[in-house]
Amino acid sequence: MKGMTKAKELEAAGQNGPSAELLAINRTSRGVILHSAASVLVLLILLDMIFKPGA
Amino acid sequence: MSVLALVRPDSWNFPLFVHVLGAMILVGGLLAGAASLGFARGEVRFLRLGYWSLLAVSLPGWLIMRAGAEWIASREGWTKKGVPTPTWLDIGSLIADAGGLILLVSLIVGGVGVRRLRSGAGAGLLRATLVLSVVLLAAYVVAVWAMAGKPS
Repeated sequence: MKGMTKAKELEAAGQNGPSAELLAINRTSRGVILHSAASVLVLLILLDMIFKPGA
Repeated sequence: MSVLALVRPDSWNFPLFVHVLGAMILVGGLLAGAASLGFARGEVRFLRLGYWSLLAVSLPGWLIMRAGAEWIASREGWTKKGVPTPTWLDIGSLIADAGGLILLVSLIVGGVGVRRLRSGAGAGLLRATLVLSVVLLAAYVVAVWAMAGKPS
């Protein structure tokens, strides 16, 4: 949410180019962890659907 | 007694997994590449990111998908001589092979575009790469429908 608010502020100020400050806000370790967790979850669902454990 | 569901033999699972995983990597790379190229608004960093998504993600994904496809087709007995192949397999094979060729062309065109970015040109060529990527995405949606829905 912080990133979105900052992006809206920058846009309102007429700054549409790259912003180091915005980049720093968006690059969080929590984001990387959540993205990795989501990728692993999708892989597990695929494994479950194909190998059908218990079927 | 009627059969409600069939479970495929266990020996088919891993080749099928390789095929589907490759297809997911291929489509994911295409979507990321097309999105990055489409929303780059002339920014060199995003144009490069889009091209590299296609080269480093989609191309390996295509190779894994195609190898897995041949493996599972062979396990299921579709590659034996004299065995008629079903329509869904013909559609999938045609789109996979033609799509591979289009992907290769888009990578060559995009590669020239990325090289020209240093001199301030090349955006037009990368736009061509974007158009080809979107065409590929549409074609792969048809392939996924044919492979999953198996119309005949």
